[in-house]
Amino acid sequence: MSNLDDLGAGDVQRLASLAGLEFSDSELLRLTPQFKGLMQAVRRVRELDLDDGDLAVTFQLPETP
Amino acid sequence: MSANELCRLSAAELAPRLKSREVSPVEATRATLEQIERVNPALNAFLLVTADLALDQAKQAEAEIGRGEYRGPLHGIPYSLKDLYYTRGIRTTGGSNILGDWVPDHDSAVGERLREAGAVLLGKNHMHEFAFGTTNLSPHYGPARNPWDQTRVTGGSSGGSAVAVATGMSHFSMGSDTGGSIRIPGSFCGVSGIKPTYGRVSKFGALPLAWSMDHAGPLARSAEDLALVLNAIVGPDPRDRSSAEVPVPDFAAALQGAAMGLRVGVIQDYMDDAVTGEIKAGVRQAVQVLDGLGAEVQEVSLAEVAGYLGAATTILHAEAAAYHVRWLTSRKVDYSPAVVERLQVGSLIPAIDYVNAQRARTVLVDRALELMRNYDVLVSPTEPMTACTLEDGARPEIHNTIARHTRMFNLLGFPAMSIPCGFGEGNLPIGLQLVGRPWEEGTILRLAHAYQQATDWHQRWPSIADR
Repeated sequence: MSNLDDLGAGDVQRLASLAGLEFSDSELLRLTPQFKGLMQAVRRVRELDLDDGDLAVTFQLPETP
Repeated sequence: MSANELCRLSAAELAPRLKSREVSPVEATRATLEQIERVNPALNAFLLVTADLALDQAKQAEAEIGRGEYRGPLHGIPYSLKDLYYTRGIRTTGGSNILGDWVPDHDSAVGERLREAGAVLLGKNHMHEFAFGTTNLSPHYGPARNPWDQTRVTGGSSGGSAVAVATGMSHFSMGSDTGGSIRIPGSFCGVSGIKPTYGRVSKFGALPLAWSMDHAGPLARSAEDLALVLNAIVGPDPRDRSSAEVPVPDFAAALQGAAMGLRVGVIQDYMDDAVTGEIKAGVRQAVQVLDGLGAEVQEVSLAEVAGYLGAATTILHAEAAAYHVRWLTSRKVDYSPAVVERLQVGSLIPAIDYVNAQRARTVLVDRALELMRNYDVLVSPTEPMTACTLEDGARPEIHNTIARHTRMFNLLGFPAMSIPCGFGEGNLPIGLQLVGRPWEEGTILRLAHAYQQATDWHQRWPSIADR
């Protein structure tokens, strides 16, 4: 993906294709600025210090019957 | 007692009258059904009214109470469900066109527990489409309208629930909250609502928005009523893996403690220039009341954790897209444009960013717990403004503004509630948000109850309730 500041309709189209979605030209026109807005939130996550490998994503097993 | 007076009783006021047989559940149910007939056409709070079922359940409750088989304080109390809770044999739309004709084959856990408690189901409340929005505007079912000013939004996504409670159409309603969806309409419509700790209430049989941020919780007339409902619905459920095996306290008993000595932190970040003057004045007045009740009030800043809020947006959009991908191609035209666009962009979030947003939550929770070692309760305005007009509610950017003070506590999973604390221009309600430590709903309910014993904001009625 391009730098977040330079995200364009082409990037959105490629990501959509990878996700199995198809956007029309008019949808791309609407969705590109929205995606750029959403990626500002993502950018804030990227700016956090998450180097600690102990910060795990976990899942829980149900109790053994 | 007239039908209108019956509708205005809180659950806590109605319960002893039902128990003593001064009022019958059938009488109470008929009163609310008549209120729905009078008021709902103007406000659109119900997507479905289950009048026959309600009267059957009320007759059963009447017979049981008559035989001395009283089940507890919700026995015979009429209530409603946000239309994302599955109801066996009864249409459940999620506020959507996609599920417009869907009839589940089982009930939600919440619905089961309320039935076991003897509550009487009146119907299904309007909601923002698939709970993905904060206004309750809907191209499919029309907007729910604010009972204090019908040209304004109810807030959402549990908008119909808040309207029903605010106007005597229901004594309480079950909502859900992923970014503020119980507290926001509670604030805009002038009722009380609580999002319990993540894992406290089973979400089995509730349509998801974002699994790791969804919370089930009630809206009601008072903190006391919220406590009664929580007592009936909390507790572990093996069918919901996020449901927690933690001790279940008696929330009604927790109300009896005083506010004296509770350490209250007023969140300064949510009293800034983005908040209207009348909201700040209302909240300052509420804080003075808490101070007068003996709470130890201090100022607190969330600046240290504010940077983590991007994780809420990331997780919400990615998880919502993961659930909806099944329909994003085949049923795209059946969504409202605003919702489908949010789902479409959510489906493009890179996996690494979603995973790191979840990892960031661990750090955030640790920091927030550290912060809350010094406070029992945090308070803030629930909303930076009173309810906006229906036209303003249609602006896409409005959702960020409306959820500004609420979504942090979905990311954290801490319990949070909203109670009425005044009125602004145009007689529009102002809400006070109270946030507690995990599993300490009893503490925020206790402070809210003490506040409501000292004030009467929660007992005001919009004039449309007299219709």
